[in-house]
Amino acid sequence: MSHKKTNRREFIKKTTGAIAGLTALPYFVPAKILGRNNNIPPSDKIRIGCIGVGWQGTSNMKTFLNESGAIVVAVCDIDKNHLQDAKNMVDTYYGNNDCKTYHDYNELLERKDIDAVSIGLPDHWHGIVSVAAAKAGKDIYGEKPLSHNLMEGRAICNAVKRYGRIWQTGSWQRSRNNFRYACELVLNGRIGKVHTVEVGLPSGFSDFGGNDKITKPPQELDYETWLGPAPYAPYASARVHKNWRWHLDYGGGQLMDWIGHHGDIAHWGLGKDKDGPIEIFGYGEFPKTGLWNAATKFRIDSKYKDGLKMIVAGGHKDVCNGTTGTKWIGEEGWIWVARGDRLDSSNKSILYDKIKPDEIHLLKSPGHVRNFLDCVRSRKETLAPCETAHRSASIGHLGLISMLIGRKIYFNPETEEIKNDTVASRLLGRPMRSPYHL
Amino acid sequence: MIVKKSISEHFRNLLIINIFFILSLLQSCATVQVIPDKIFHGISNYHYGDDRTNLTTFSHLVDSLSLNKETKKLAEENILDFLNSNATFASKQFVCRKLRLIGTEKSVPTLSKLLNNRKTTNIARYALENIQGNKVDKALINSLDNPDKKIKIGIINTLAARKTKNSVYALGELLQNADNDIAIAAASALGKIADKKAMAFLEEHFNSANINFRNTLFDSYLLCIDNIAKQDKYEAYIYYTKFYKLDLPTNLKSAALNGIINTAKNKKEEILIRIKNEPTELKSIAISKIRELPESTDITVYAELLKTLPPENQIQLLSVFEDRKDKSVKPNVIQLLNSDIDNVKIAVVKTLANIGDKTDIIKLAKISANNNNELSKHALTSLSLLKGNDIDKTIISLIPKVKDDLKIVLIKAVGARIIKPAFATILKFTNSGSKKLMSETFKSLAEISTEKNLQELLSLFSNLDNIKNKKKLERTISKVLINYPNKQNTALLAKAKDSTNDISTKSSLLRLLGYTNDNNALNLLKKEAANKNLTIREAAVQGLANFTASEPMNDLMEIMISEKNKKIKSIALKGFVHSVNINKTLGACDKVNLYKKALPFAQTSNERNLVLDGIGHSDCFESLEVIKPYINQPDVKGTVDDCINRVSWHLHQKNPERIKDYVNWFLSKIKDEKFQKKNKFLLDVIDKFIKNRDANLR
Repeated sequence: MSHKKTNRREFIKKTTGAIAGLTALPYFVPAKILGRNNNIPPSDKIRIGCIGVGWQGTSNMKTFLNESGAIVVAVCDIDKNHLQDAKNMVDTYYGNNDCKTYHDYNELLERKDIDAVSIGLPDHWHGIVSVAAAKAGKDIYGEKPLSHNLMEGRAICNAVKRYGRIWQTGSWQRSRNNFRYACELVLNGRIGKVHTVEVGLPSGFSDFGGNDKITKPPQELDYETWLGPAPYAPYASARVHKNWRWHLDYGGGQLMDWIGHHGDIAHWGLGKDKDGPIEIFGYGEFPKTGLWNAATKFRIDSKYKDGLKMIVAGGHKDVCNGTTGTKWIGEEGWIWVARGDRLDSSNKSILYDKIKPDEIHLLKSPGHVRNFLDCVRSRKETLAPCETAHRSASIGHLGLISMLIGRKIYFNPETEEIKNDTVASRLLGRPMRSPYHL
Repeated sequence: MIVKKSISEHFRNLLIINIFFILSLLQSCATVQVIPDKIFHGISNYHYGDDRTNLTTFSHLVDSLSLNKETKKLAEENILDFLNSNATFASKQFVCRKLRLIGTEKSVPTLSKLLNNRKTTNIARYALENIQGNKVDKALINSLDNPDKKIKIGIINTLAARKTKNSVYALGELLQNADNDIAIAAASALGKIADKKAMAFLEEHFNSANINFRNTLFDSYLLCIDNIAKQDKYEAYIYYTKFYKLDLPTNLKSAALNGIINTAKNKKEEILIRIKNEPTELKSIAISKIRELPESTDITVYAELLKTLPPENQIQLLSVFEDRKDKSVKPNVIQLLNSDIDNVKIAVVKTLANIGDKTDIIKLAKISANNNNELSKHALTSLSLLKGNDIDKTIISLIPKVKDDLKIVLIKAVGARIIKPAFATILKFTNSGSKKLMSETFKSLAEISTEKNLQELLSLFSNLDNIKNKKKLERTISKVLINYPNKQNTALLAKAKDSTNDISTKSSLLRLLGYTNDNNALNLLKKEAANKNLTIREAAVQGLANFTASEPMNDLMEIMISEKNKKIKSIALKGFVHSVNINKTLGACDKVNLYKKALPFAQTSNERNLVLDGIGHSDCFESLEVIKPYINQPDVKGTVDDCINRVSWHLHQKNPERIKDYVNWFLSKIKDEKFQKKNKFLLDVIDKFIKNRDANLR
């Protein structure tokens, strides 16, 4: 795939050169520069800054590069190698040297010419940077899970709402046809009233290499900032890039990695984007040795106000038949959906059903990033707005709290408080290392 | 349920043991040691990177002790003693994590000492922050004069998290601190506490020259007003309005305007005034707030503004109308179809999907027909989503009356809306002169036809001369057969097959029989698969291969073995692989054995790739054996390499040592860089898995 395109400057240079040779002819500005035929003039492009350009951050950045309605103008990372790679990628794509680099996200946020940011950071940094971005008046494409803990999630949602920002979560399954269609089938009653939803997630760890051994941080990485608000811990390569997810100080294991996908889809199909469970019991198996301490096998049984049961599990074959995906079970059958365009039902004919014009239609996404850019322009709610992401993440946060204290907890989704359990309540948030704060 | 039972039992047992333990200790000594010295000893020398087993034991014990008030209290005391000892920093940090959960005001003296020490201040705050009580607040406020910047900022942040009202004065004083970071932290904290005293302190510094400090100050001030709004909206409105008049950057203006509209007595009017008078960026905030107005609100006043707005605001307002689905705004919306800006027109068209009616059908059809871009696609989508009982009927009635270009759009809409009653109307166009019209008609027929239409479709099929159209109709019929499985379908197809002498038609019908997934069809196809006529035989075997169930698996195997014709052999092979793949009763190793049988019949590289891919998707150790002879063969290399990596990943937790042997063997034979890199990484993962497994077994 060639990323090389004629950039704006080259274009102007070429066209003015041509004009210079044809002075007798009048110069008409091509319609595409004026925004006709859906070609967006450079001045109308949404200017993007990418904060965190490691693994997922780079992947998101590439998608923004491929969007004609956006232009990536700045990248920020505390790993010099990541930063340089990202800049090279952007500059190569546009054929110029314009992409600015930042070590400190605050400096990027201070730029008035940046409309939106893509945040691809470890979970423990989501809260601080997202709140700062919202306050700086940027629209935000952020990753799932929304937050490292429930209180940080609430803080992000509040900031986004107060400042009137557009937020899209990287719960991109919402932009895939099979997931949308499955949800439409459930919402339109094809399996009757749903009484149970099973959410199957991966178990164990996805090992991305690295070592538990404590060493000096590599020169290219500002490790002190990488740790940020998390409790102090010395550097080990298995703690940082990609693998941070398996340590509870920075991530939440497979549970929190995936709850914003299949848990999110479960909520979407139930119309529970702004709801949460009232009873949660979690059980997890945590490794006793090694650097990583997130649950490798887990199960969360929860109940919603209307009696609906949600079971979230990783490593349990009785949930979703041991597969990863979402399975809604209703009075008249079940529907299961998973990645790889997979969709199944107890009644196969349902799968050929079409959603009629008068039924509930969910937005057919033009692409997850494109949907975000469309909403930046229209100020409409995205497919996966902040509150929605907060609610799907909450299932995981609460399940994890229950796992850690070993008992059932009772939650009020309206006030977001845990009832009659001070120990559990103290786990809703987390004190931050000085000088970090939301 | 088993899990629930086991976990609750686990904690109950631990608790019983501990209570007995405590009781026995109470009898023997004054200081009750609910956390035995042995456990503390086990963790006191803990350093980062050490085995965490002792920490885990300690953690579980504290969890179980926290279930009972008395034992929880004693555990806290024991932990405090530990924090006063010479244990390592790492162990104290871990212990503070637990103290955070069970700590009370009793912990304050010990934690205060740690709080004022640069090395331990963070772990002390970690424990202190969630402990309720005035003593904690007092200790934090008293420590605010600590000269160390890191300690001071940490304490400010903790006071903010605790929303300690008593700290407002001290924090207010810190706004004047020469260190900008400290002043910013204090300003932020006052916003979290957000009472009127905090507000007054913040207001005093509005003229500060430092932009970052001032922005934090303003944000905090707004949070204070937000807090007032919870009690008194009117008062908050006055504050917001006054604040809004300051020289603020747009982001803060946006937040303030949000507040103004939220607290306005007449929200509808406030929004209107703001849309009329604010600059473009702030208009958008006001426009978005229309979404929050009650459903019954008359929103035509906003619609009347549409024409006067800049294009970006027009798009935003249209998207609000799209969400609100209020038809009263339609006349104003329609006017913007004349806009010069494509994105405005797209927004109009999208809005029409929710507010349009039958009178918009032709309008949308024309837009779709006359454009060849995004606008056209959106117009068709909106046409497909128009709501109302009379829409379908109107579309059907319009089809015969309009020109071909509009006919095409309306027929597309028939398919998208699944207007089944349109079957007879559009069937006529399968034989029209226009290629495009015919093509769209076949597509829509595939969407709307049911088993009830099968007879008519078959009649049409027999009468079609054009081979291309015949193929299209064959696809349409196959869709009907898949979507509407019915015993009658087989009978109709069989009858049609018997009533024609045309070999091509007969062949099509045989292929179609496969989509019925019916036993009668299976028998018929098996019989015809032995037909002497090559074309018929080929079609019958294709029919067997088309089954979406695995019943024909064995028949396809036999054909694969006995058939002499290469093309038919190949169809049988592909059908066989498909049958094995979708078979739900077979285990992974059974499948590998079947694929193994098919391998000798795979002649072309495509066929070999197909079978090897099946093997690569069967998680069985045998897969790795079967694949061995195919390594380094250029035409199947990608498939084979993927198979090795995929199967090894999937099975490495089952028997890591065995998989390791396999991977090492493959690594010694396959030398290319990509393969080496991928599988050496896998070896690292397997080693780590073995190490962790053995450690956990200890």
